[in-house]
Amino acid sequence: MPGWYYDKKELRNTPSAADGIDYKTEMRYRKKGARFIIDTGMEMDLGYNTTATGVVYFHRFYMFHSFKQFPRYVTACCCLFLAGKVEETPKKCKDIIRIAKTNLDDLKFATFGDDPKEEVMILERILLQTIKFDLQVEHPYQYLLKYAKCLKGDKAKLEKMVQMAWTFVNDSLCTTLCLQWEPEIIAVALMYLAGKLSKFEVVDWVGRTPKHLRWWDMFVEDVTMDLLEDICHQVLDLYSQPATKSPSQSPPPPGQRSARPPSPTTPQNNRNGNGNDKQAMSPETPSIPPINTKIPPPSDIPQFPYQTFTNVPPPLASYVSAPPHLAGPPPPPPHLAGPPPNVFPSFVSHPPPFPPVVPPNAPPPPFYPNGPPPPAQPHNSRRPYFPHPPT
Amino acid sequence: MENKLKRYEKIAFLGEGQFATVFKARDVETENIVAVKKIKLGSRVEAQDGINRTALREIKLLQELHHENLIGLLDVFGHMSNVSLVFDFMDTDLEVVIKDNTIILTTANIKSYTLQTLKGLEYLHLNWILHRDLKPNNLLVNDKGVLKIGDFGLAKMFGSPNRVNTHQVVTRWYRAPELLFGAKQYGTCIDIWAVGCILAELLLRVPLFPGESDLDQLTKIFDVFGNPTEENWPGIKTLSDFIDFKPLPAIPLKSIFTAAGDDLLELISSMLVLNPMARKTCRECLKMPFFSNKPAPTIGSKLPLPQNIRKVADIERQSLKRKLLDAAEGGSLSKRLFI
Repeated sequence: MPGWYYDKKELRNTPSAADGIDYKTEMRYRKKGARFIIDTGMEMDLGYNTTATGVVYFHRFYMFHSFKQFPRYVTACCCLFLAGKVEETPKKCKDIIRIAKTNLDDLKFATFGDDPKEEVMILERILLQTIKFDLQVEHPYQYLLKYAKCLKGDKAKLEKMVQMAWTFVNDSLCTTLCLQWEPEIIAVALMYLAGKLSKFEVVDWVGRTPKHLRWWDMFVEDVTMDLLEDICHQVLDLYSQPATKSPSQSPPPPGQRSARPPSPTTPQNNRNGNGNDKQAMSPETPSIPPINTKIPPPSDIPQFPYQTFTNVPPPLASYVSAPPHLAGPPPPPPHLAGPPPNVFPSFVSHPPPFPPVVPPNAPPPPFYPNGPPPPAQPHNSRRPYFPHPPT
Repeated sequence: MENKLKRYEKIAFLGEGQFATVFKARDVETENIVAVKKIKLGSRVEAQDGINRTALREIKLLQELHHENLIGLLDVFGHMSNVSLVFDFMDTDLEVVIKDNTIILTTANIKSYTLQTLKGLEYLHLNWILHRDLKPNNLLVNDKGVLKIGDFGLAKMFGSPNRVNTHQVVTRWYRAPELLFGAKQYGTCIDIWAVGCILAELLLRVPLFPGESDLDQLTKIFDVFGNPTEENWPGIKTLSDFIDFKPLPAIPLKSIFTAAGDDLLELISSMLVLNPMARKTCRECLKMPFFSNKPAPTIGSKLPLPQNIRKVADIERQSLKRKLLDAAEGGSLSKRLFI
């Protein structure tokens, strides 16, 4: 099987880069393309698995071709079309194009040419060859669930953490993480991030042996804290970027900012074939106390202010405060909306490699409740998020 | 991709189906003989919705599966508007073996074929995959006497309990009773039923239940096993296409398989159980006395095969003829491509 993982240098050295597209633009194209696949997939009731497979095809495709040569929305449709067939949730090509048309402005839809269906069909063959017929793709979701089942602790908190991690996995599709790391590692990293942010500390787990310093030692080997942090930052970076206007999700007028951000589709829809939505939405689920005062507390049925996919993670309670970042100019992810210092959980009883509490003069975190974000910091500058242990 | 075209040197045309054309070819890099299945994508009529899902399933599943008793997908490549799949070349299949009345199938031979089938199927089930189209025609055999399960065009991952599946799978004669009653949720037991029917066919040399319609199929099954009741198959009445049959008595298997020993009859009656929940799994079947009792299964090189296969020669022409006959009968040719 071909190797599908790249280092950061290779990710900057893509066919698009050779074609004169700068790195930032390429990342924006990738993010928008992924987002488009996710939105279109959701609108068509395709499950998270199909959608994620489509996005991975998309990212892989552009490691071999330039965004200049292949218009991104045509590729996105084609990836979703193929993923639908591969994941046994087929959708007709013409239906995908129909939905795409309603979600794209005329200028973007013009890239589909005179015969959009034929355009996608021809591209399918190129796509298949480009991804080297390696159709079966694994995603972090299944690993999240696998790991979650082993963790011990307060059930409600655990569910909240997994829910948050699930949302991070959704959003990680908009980054190039799937081109850098195996799904297991992404799942570990984002669960770790969710644990930090939801202040759930995993101290015990099923199958623990004295060798295990941390829960993930049981599942992955040789994962350094530096690596986990790097992965977390790549996802968190999404939230600090200014949201660019997308036709399907225009930002709410300022007056409505305090209201619930518009969600792409009705949050309560239970239409999807996943079959788990009902369970997750059931009123018995313990309601989670509101974290962000900007979002009204849940009524008896918890609502999703923002959900990347129609499907919530199968066996878990709904999580109210998923980051609404992509629904408009980013209100901060609710869990981060508080003032910086106490956002970062103190590392009370973690094993040695964990760093001490936030340094006193830490700059504000990259989330800006009000007002525009300041100029972006250089990519690898060290942010205060997980301060480094002294080395 | 250009070099891939040159890598496989066409030797002979093997057959043509609705979605594909199959050639026997020589892999010039390894000198191996292979079967190249060229999926048609070119014409707009066939490519209504792009590359067909049967081919995608074969690519997706077989790329991940590696077992002595499963057909090997050696390579996939695309050229222009075509996609080609390269498989192990297989000389014949069990349907040919069963129909060839010059071949004598001893208990040891039957044991060998059944053992190889169950081993391949066990691996498949361990990997959460249902074959859903087991029949003698899809059990391929090469000149070394190795049996490999082929044609993964209907195969599917299973395990998601809410997943609704179609019951329109498996060639009718090998279709399990729950499928005939319209079950939408089923598991590995449907493949076991098919293996039971194939085993019976190896003994009888004719299909055990050659039903002419779905209803006739059920009648033929119940003629042997009696009709199912809530007692021996709890929940049967909840199946969507369930219909009551007039009470039929079961007849002893010994009267059908007169030549079979008790251990073999025990195996058959563990696989052909009306209630899917009561059917044994592959692993359980493999542990049954039949496989450890004497005689030992025939070794591959000693298995009887149709004439000429071990002498090389004219086999392509023969199998091609059979394919053309099949085509004339309107059989789904895409399913009979590797011979």
